[in-house]
Amino acid sequence: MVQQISDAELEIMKIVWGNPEEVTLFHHIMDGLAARGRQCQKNTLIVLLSRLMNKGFLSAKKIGRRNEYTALVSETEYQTVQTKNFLDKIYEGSAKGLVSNLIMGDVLTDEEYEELKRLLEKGKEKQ
Amino acid sequence: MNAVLKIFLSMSFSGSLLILALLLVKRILKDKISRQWQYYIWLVVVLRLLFPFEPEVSLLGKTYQAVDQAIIQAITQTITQTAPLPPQQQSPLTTPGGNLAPAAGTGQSNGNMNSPTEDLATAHLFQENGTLLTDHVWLIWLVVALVLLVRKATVYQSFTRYIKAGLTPVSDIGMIDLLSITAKQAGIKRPVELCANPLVSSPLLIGFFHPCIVLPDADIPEKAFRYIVLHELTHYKRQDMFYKWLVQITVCLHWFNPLVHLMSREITRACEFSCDEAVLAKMGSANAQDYGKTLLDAMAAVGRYKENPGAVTLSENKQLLKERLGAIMKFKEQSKAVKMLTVVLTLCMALGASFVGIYTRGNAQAASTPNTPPYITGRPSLSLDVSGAAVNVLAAENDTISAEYNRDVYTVNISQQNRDWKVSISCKTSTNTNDETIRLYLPNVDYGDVKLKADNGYLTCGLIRSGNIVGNFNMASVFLTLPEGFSGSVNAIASSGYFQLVSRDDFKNTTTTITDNGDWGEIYKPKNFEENGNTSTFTDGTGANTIRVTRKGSGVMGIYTSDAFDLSNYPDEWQGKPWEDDWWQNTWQEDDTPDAPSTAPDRQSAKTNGASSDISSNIGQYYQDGSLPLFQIAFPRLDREEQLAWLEKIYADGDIAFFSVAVRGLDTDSPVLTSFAEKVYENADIAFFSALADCMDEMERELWLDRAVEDGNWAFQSMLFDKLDMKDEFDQLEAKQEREWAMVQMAEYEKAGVTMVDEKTYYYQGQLVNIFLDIRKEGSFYTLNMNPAGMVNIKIIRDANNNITGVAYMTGAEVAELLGDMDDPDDKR
Repeated sequence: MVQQISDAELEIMKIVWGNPEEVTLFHHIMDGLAARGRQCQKNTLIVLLSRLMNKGFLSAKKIGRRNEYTALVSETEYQTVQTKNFLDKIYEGSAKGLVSNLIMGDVLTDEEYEELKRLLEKGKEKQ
Repeated sequence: MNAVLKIFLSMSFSGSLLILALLLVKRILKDKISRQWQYYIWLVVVLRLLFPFEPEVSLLGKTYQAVDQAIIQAITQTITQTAPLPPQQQSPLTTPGGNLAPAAGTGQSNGNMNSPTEDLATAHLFQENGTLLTDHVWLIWLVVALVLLVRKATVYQSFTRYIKAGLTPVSDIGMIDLLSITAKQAGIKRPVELCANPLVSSPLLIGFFHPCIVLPDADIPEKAFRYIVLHELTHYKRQDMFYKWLVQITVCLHWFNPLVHLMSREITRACEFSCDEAVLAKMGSANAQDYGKTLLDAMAAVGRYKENPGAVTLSENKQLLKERLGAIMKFKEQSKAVKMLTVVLTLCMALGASFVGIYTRGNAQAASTPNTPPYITGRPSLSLDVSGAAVNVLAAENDTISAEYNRDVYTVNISQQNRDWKVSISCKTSTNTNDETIRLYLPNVDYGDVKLKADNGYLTCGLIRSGNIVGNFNMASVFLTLPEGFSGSVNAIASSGYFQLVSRDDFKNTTTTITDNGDWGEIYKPKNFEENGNTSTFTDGTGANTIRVTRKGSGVMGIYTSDAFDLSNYPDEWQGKPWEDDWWQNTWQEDDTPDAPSTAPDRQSAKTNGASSDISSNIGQYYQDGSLPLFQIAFPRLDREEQLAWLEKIYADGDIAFFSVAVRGLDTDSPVLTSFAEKVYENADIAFFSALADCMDEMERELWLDRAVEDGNWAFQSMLFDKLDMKDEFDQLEAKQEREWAMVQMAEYEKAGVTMVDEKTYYYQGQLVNIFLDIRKEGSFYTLNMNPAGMVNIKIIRDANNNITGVAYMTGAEVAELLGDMDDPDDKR
């Protein structure tokens, strides 16, 4: 089961996911946070990273004094789970409710709506 | 194991004194002295309570010893007066009936010295149970300590589990960051986790390797948060957790001592006080008020769970809080004078802690009475009285004492009542020529007090593996062997006779003291014994067992380890001589005249009172049996003619060991010595002469030396020079002699046609000599030279008068024989 993570932790995960390389180094995350205007202490980052490891989001490999972090949960996996949670919580599992809400709230543009429709039909053919 | 408990009791007592002293100091100097000091000074007490170190001189060592002695005396009295009783040696914990609760007041300062009368009263009630209890007091103590320890650990574990269950990490990155910054300032390198748990009442810190600050609520103003974090981090920085656990262990081990519990509470308080002090020192006293307010807020919601495994109750918490606030407001920098005072007080405490001492083996050593006991309660006591008889102690098959003996000659009385066992053996006839020995079978058990008495007899005993042996031996031959793992004590006095003590485990964990108060005679002892005047001591391991042996009168004593006999002059054979049935003869009967039964006749009177006739008949037996010690005792008692006759006989037999023993028994100016020396000198028996020379005075030695120089007798000269401490003069003389001699020899060889270029190069008829051999007739002296470059092998031929008659080439066989000899190291001279 993918656990919930805090905003600060998600920030870190985004940096890790955004890194095209297999492994992410500590200073890369540190720099990434600074770039997003969220500078923090080294030990703060260590604490957050260890929390992420406990939650099963990251694994760390110690090479000398250098830690290499690898994401165990991919961004899409996380999004899927989060969406599902969101659906379950707010719309009691019904995607229809969500979509209608999106349309009614004018959150979707017409183009987006057509795109979605196409996707749905494609999915139907596959089955 | 009771010994360990005893040490703990004494440590508890010493510690209690320190606790009291410290509480007093605290009362007087409450606010004047650094809180840090008030906190850490307890460490001295804790260490005193946990570790049995002590200096050479300790204040209470003697006291503990005296107490110990008193208790034991009381016990022994009790035992002798009534049935065997269970003395409450380790008192307060042994209160029979299983009442193990450390009742207030008993475990304190006088806890380990209950009065014997009380013991008596309780003991009457619970005889058997009591014995069992005292034997296992240490077990009770240990079990309770372990149970407490395990309980403490599990309580702590369940507490951390409780905390961890409702733990939510604080997600506010700003707070974590602030924590990281504060930690850095406080000098903590490890990352510290920050969590919130609504179940805890006040902020706290858990985890040793992964420290985690737990807040009741994440919503705290920044300033308060800083104070709280700094306070908790200070705890972590100072490793208060470790200190606390050390105290907890101490409390578990000293569970019977209420003062130790009190101390634990004091330390918990001092811990918070000193932590506050440290925080304020960092933040500056201007912040005192804010800090105090934070403390108050943090503590306001107290009481949802008893967090502290040590459990401070609610009211105490409030009281503590009040005091803490007071202290915070009064916070000020330390003056120089106070700092000085602190240093002095620290020194006092540290010195006090070490000098207050504990009860240990060291004290046992210093005790005036040597008979400090192992644990003897409930064991049978044994009294063995041998008079004019030969007794061999063997192990009985069951628990009954029995004896095999000749009823015509001996009287043996055995009484084996309860735990009071007595054996007395005496001889029916006044002059006993019977050589039968008594086989006494004793149960092979642990003994309490053992009294061994031997008067004019022979006693072999290697059975007693534990107990307090008191030996009184007079004109007797006693062979006492302590088996491996012997525990207890030996206190033996041997007057005029032979006493041999062998420790099979080489005096393991034993303090051994040998005192020589005798006149003539000797003590043979292992090399590693330290000599100091007329006493020698040796301590091994814990030194818990004590052995004291004293030699009195004239006699020989031998103290031996299992294998390391240091006999200097004597062969090993007579060491630990196994029992031989017909070995002993009741020889001392004649000496033991009724009007002077116990005084050992000294050697002068023995010689003149004509008692030697009997000795002379027996000394032959000693000689035959190779019993050197008895021979040594008997020899001086012979009259002169007999002594001379014996010397002749021994000399004829060539037994150097007996010879030197016999000679030593002679007076220095004895005419026997002089006349005998003449004879030995003539026969050139240098070993025997050396033994004689040992007993000569300097004048006489010099006379003999003059004679040896005159005779050109080198061996005797050398030996006598040596004995006269004139080695250098001898060397000079020898060198001079050698030079002269070499000249003579060269001339001699020249005549025979051998040219000597230097000491290594010889020529014979113009040829370089390879092997040159010149053996004098008696074989005492020879010259052999080898020069690998040489061509010929020659030997000098001499006639009966040692004059050179010619030179011959050596045959191949001769060379082979010579070289063969050379290869054999034994034949090299």
